[in-house]
Amino acid sequence: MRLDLFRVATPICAIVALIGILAPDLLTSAAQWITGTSFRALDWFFIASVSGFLIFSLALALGPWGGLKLGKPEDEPEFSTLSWLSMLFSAGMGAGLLFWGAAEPILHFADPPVGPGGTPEAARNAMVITTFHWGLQAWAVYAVGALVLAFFAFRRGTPYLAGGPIRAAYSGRWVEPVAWAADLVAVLAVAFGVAGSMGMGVLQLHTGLNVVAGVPMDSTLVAVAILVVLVGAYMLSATTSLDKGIRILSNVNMALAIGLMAFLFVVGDTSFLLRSFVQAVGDYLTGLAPRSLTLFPYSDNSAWLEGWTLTYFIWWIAWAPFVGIFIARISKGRTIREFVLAVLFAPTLFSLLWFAVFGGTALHEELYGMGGVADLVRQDVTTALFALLERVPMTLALDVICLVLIFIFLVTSADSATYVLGMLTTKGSLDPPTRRKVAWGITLGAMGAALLLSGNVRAVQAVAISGAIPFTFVLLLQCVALIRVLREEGRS
Amino acid sequence: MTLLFALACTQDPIVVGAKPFSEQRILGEALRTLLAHDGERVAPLSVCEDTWDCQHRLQSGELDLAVEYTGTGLALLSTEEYGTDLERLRAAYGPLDVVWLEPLGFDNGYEVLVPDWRAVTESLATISDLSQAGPVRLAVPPEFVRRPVDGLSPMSRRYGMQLEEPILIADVGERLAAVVEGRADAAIGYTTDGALGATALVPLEDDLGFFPAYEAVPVANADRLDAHPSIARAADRLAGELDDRGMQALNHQVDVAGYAPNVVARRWLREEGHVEGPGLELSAPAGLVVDPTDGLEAQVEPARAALRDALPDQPVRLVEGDPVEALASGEARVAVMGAERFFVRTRAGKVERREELIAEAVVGTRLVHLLRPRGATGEPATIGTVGSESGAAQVAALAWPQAEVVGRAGVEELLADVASGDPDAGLVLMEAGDPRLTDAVTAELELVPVVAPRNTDLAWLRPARILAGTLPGQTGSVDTVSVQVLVASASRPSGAMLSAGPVAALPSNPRPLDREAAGALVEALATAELPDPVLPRAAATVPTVEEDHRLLDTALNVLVLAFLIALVRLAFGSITPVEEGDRGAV
Repeated sequence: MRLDLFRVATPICAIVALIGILAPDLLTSAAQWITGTSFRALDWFFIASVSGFLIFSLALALGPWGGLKLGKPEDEPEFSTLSWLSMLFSAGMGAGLLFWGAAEPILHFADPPVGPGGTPEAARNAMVITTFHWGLQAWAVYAVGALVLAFFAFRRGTPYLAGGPIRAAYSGRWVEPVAWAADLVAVLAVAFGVAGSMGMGVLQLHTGLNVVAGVPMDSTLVAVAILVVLVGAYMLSATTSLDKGIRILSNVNMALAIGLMAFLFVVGDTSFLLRSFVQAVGDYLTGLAPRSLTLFPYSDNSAWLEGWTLTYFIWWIAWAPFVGIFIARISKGRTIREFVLAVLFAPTLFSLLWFAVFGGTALHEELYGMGGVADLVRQDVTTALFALLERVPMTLALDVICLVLIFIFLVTSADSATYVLGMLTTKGSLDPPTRRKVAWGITLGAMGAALLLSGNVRAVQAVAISGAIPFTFVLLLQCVALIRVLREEGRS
Repeated sequence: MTLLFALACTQDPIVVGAKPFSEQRILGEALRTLLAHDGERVAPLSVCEDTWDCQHRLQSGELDLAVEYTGTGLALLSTEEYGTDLERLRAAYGPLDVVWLEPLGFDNGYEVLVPDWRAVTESLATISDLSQAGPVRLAVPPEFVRRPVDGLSPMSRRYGMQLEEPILIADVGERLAAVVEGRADAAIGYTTDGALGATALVPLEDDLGFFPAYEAVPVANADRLDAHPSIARAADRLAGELDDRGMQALNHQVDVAGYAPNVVARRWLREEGHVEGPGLELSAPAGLVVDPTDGLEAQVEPARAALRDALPDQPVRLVEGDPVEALASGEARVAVMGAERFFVRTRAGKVERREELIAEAVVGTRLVHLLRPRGATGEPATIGTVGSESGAAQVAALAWPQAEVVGRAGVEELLADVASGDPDAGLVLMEAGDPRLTDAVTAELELVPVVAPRNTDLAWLRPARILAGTLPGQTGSVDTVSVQVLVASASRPSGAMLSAGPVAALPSNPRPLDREAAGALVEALATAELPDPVLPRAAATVPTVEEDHRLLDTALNVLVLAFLIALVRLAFGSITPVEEGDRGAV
């Protein structure tokens, strides 16, 4: 008899949220202890695992199994390649790229891991570091997570549970407890990841409303009001049959984001941006192998590596159960080769372009323009996007568009989160009961409110990341599960 | 066409230069902003070492545009004569490839500053008055010593001033502080100085007309001026736009309020309608909190100056309220408070240390003055303090748990009430000999000794002695305890994830100072005394025993290696046939 996941997961979320309000320090220091210990002792393992996912997915694509279909031989792709690619982008980018698009390159520019900040050299490195964090490694994690789920779901009929492939491919008494733990870790990773990104998004919306409409910055009330509207919006779509509307909205949003990027590209110093894009691609490709396995064992840079690179990698692993399910569901009928190459390279190329435009515009402003963006970002990272838009024409209109963009991204991602969480806690049912979706919607809202009231988005992000550490092991077990069934299929 | 396009794209950005003080930086940033607004690529503001460096780089074409002062410009050219004739300047600088554009409208000349009390008591009104008052210890910028025509030695010759060895201080604020603190008799200042209004210094009249006018004028490299018409356009837009008071107000925003020069420049340009668009301001000034009932006014100014050093380019705002709460909510980054606020009495009656704060530096020491009516005996049942939430009230509550603590509005009211018997005792937390206490104390009251508590929880109450005669009518010295006054901040999170990276970049309450800022703060306060060892201190300043993680780390590594080996066996070992029922559709 297995314990009902829902009955275990929701109280855990509630308790952690409660501790987040009452004793945020306790929560952060506990999360810090877990990540600190694992990173200190096992940094080589995480870096090697993430790079291993990249090598593994490439090996699958280029190896003998590349021609296998995710589905039965007669299955055809459900979506046209273009719309499939655009759905991939929107799954992976979301509000995160709007949040970090200008902020991260600027932060690396101002405080580089080596050498002095604020120099042209620091700017060049900032672009490479950022694209490294958001590039192939991130998408390799998603690709592996999605590929395993898709393969087992479409060829073996396994539910999209993290433990599903483990149950299907292994035998032994250890399988069921491990699979159950994997399911639980996945649920918690999705819940905390989405709650944390909601918190970040609300803060960014708050800053944006302050810039556009002058709402007071230090008011928790405003932040909570934004959250209430947000929760109302995604609950509405989760409980009614607005699913189709949400999907259209999500596509519109994607188009808006690309339009925003195109606008910045045209009004900015276009040739500079193109140059920085080409330079970033070149630096990224030449530096990929050495950077992928850099651990600074002989110098004292481990704090930077743990804070940035490892944290990002674990962050992607935390999102893998969520994004993986989404990508898996839309990829029926693709071959492994097609799937891996598209998931790895298309979004990575898009991220490179995105950071070249947003980060490049911000760096151009610092190096050749009025400057001052870095000061703002260092004080409050949520201002980065708006500080950047202030330097281009039609600021107000762009600010409003960005607010809409962020809001819709948050609604669509929270909407999918309630679905995914509902599914994960009903043994993988593809049509989870509305009651359960509502329950998750409320839990996510309460977690968001908790972290806004305590003023501690950081605490929840820290928990999300420390909670995802065990999921690394789950992903590895899933990879091996895939290898086993592939060997089996090869034999039969 | 394509070639032209390529040329336009690869042209060097325009370089604006500034001498190393706020006014120059503000003007440089304003010119850069206008150029960028005009669609030019501009390099970051290039800060020169001094006037000569600036001129040299302007002539060599390394700098394209800067702001120079007419008096300085003429002084550089000739060692005999000077004046303010712009036409003569233009003629003289023409061959050097430097073009003087239109004046900005203000005049930033040198002036000699003395403390206002000296001006009154010794009736100093002019530089001649000062010269006759005896040898002068003059605080001067290093450059002033080198200026051949309008510098130190021609000035002292002209006025017949006898000079001691001049004190060279580059920073204006520190130069003025040297006079205020009495390390110098007078200082050389600038007429548009932003800090001037905030200090008790007055300028002396230049009665012999020694100093020429120093009108601010944009100067440009002639070749680059021809190549980029936007340089002249930017300079012309500022022509006549700033008078002395306007410039002084802008300098004040940088030197006193603490805003970054580029922020001040852009805000001014926007207000004057030179550039449009909404202005994104720095989110919030950093707060410095002090409880107004603590009577720590004297410690606030040094702390504020130190915080400005620690957080360059960020304005500092004084917050009044409970220091612990203001630090916890992030409303303040730094607090000035006594050591007592680091401790709290739990319901169980134990004294516990707050771990959410850290003591950065000691800025003073205050003594517990326990005053009772003469001849009063027994333990006091009620202890009065100034303010019911003040540091003094907390000391009373922590050290005399059995007594009731009552608040009074001020020292005089408190002492009068103690004299009349309610409350039984008054506790005043002040430095020895603080006039606020010595002036208010009456003959009916006497100091009673306070024994330093044996309790280790109260070890921050250190044994001290109030010497005989400190208070009027005090015949013998009295033992008491002292409490440190500290600059405190929220404790910094330890560990990599919270000190760098995307998680650390997220906003949080409280807002601790980062390591670099805390270091600058402690350095700026430059106090010799260290915080009491029982107070929580920054990890970096406490010699910690490095924890030995080797056992845990090795165990984790062995486990992970075992997991990896198991994975390899699972992947390449024999595949046990899975039962048909579990397999699902293939």
